[in-house]
Amino acid sequence: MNELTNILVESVDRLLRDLMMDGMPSRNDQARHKVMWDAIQNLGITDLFLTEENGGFSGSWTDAFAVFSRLGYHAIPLPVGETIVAKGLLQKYGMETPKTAITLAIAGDSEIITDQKSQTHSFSGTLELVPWGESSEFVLVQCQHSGRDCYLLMSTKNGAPVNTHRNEADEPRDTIVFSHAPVAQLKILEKSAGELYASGALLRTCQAAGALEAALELSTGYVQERKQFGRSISKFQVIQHQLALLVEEAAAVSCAAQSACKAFDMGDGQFEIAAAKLRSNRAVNESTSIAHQVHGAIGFTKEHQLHYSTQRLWSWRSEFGNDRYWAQRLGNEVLRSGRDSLWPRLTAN
Amino acid sequence: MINIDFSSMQLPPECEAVRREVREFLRETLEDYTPLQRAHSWMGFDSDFSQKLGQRGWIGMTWPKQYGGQERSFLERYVVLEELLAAGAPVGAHWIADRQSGPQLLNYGTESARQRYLHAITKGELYFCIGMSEANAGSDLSAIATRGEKTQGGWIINGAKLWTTIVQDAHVMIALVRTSTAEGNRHSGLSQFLIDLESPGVTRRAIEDQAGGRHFGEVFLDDVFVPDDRLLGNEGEGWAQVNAELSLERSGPERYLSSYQLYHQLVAAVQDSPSELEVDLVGNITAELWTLRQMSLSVAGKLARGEDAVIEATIVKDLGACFEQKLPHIVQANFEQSSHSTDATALHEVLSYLLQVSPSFSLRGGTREILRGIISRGVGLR
Repeated sequence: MNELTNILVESVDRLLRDLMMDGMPSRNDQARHKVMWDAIQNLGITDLFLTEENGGFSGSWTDAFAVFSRLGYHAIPLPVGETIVAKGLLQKYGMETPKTAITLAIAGDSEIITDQKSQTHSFSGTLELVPWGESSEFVLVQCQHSGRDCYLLMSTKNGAPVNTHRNEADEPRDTIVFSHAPVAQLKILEKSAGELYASGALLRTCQAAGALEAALELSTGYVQERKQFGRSISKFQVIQHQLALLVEEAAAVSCAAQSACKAFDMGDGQFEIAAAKLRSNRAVNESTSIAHQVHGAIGFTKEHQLHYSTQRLWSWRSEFGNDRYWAQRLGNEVLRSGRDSLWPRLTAN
Repeated sequence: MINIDFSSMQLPPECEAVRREVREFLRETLEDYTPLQRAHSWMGFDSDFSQKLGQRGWIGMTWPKQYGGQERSFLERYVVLEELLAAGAPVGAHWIADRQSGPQLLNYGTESARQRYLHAITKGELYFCIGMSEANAGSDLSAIATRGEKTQGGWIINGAKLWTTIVQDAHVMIALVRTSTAEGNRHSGLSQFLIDLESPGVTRRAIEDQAGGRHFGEVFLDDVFVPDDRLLGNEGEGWAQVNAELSLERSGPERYLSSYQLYHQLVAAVQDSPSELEVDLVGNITAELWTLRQMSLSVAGKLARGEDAVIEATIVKDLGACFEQKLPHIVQANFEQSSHSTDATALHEVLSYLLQVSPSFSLRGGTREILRGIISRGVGLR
C-alpha cells in the first residue's frame, strides 16, 4: 500500500465512524443518506481505482481490501463499494466515469439493438436484485451482444423499477426493467465480461471480512461486560472457546479476502476469488451463530447493533454467488485440470 | 481493539527456483512410493530418504554454514517443506531435528553441543525427539515430575516421558525436566536437557497406536548422567524456551496437509465422471485448503520478518488440524464408489488409514482445548 492510500484508509475509517455515530439512518431518511454520500464522495473514496490523472488514487485491489472491509465493518448503507468497482471497470475499458453512484448488475435475457443511422444503441431487459438500483444514477451491466460479452452503462432513470426488494440487512435490491432504453455507453469485449461478477464477489468477501471483525469486537466486548453467576461470562471456558472459533473464522475470511485481492492485482485471480468467496460464505453460519449466542437476548433486538453485521453476512452470502455456485465453479475447474495440476494450482500464488 | 494480522504474502522469486528443484527431486526419488505410504506424511520414517535430502542441503537449510547449514532464507525452507508434505515424502526421521531441535541448539546450545549435533542433523543422520508429556503431565506441563539433580560435572535425571514421537528411533531427546520445586509461577523450575538415548539408564519402548503404527513411545530415565554442556539454555528457563519455539512448531504446512493425499486421491478417482455432489465436495475442500495455505504463508511471512506471530500460528494450527481431521469423514460420507469405473483402491486405503490416525491431529503439538485457550487470551478474555 502506498503512502497516499495509507492516509486514505485512515481518513476513510475516521469519516465512516463519524457518519455512523448516530446509528443506522432510517430507510426513508434521504437527507441523511445524501449527507453521508456527499461526505464519502468528497473524500474521493469512490475514485479509489481511478488513476491520479483522472483524480483518483491509482488504488490496487490490495488497497481496496482496506476500504471495502471498513465499509463492511461500519455497515455503510450506500453503494460505495459498487461505485468504486464500477468506476474501476469503466476506466479499465476506456469508458467515461460519471461522478455519481454507479451500481452493478448482470443481465439475463436481454437485447441490444443498434440504430445504424445514428450509431446509437438501445437496451431491453430485466436486471434483478440490483444493489441500490433505484437510488444509483447509473448501472454498469455485464451482458451479451451478438454473441460477444460486453459492458454497458445505463441510466437508471430510463428504466422502470418493478420490484423494490430489501435484503435481510434492509439494503435495497431492486429489479429494474428496461424497454428500448437508450444505452449511455457500450463496450464490446474481446474476452469474457465475468470480471464484473468476480469483482462483485470479491467486494462482498472484503465487506464480509469487515462485518466479521465488527461482530467479533462486539462479542469480545459484551462477554467481558456481561456478568452472570457472579462473574463476567468471559471467564467461562465454554465462552472463551466459542469466541476462539469466531476469531478463527474472522481470520480465515480476512486472509482469504486479502490473498484474493493480491492475486487479482497480479493476474486474472478467478481461482482465488472463487476460493475466497466460498470460504467467506462457509464462515457465515458458524460465526453469526456464535456472535448471537454469546450476546443472548439483547443481541436479538433491533436496538442492538449486532444485527448490522450479522444480517449483512447472511445477505452477502447469497449475493454474487452462494456456496453452491462457487463450489461448482471451483470444483469443476479443479477436476478439469486433474490431479496432477492440483498442487501447482494451489501454490501458484 | 483486536490485533490479528493475516495480510497476504508474496513469495520472492528465489522460492520458485527451489520449488522446481524439490519437485524434480521428489518425482525421481518417490517414483515407486504408494499412495498409502504417502498418506503417512510426516509420520513416515525413512533414514535413506532423510540422508538423500541432507545431501541436497535441504535439512537445516537456514542454519549458518559453520554448522552444516546453507544460510538459505526462512521462506525458501517453507517452500521445501510444503513440497515435501504435498508429495507425501517420508520426512519423519529428521523432521523434529530440523524444525525444533536444531533451532533450539542454535538459540540456546553450548558451542560444544552445537558442534556435536548440528552437522549430523543436516546430513540426515541424527534424529531428535522431544520429551515433554509424562503420564501425569499432558496439557498441564507444569506437573512434570521427571527430575534433574545437580552432581559433579553434570546432572542426574530420573523419571519417564510418554507419547514421545519417534523416541524408539531417535538418537537424542530434548527433555523438559524439573530442576527445582516451583514457587509462585507453576512453570518456573523447568530446564531443558539434551539426553543421548544410548546413555546408560535409558530404556525405550515403542507404543503401538490403534492403526498399527509405532511412531511414538515411552522412555524411562534411571539415574541418567547428562554432562553440564548438555543443559540447553538456562537452568529454570525451560518453559520460556519451549514457548519461544511454538510459533515455529504450530504454523508450518504440516498443520493442514496431513490429509492432503486423500484430497489428491479423491480428485484422481472422480475427475473423469464427477457427480454434482462430488464437484461440490472438491470445490469446498479446495476453498478450505487454499485459505489455510494462504494463512500459513502469511504467518511464515511474519516470522521471516521477525514479527511476533504466536496468536496467528495458533489459529492456523487449530483450523488446520480440524480441517485435516474432518476431511476423511467428509470423503467417506460423500464419495460414490458405484458411479466410477476407475480403480479406487488407493482412495479406500488412504481413507481407512486417515480415519484411524486423524484423532491424533488435534492432540499433537497442543490440544485443541489448549490452543483455544491461547487464542482467547490473545483477544483479551483471559
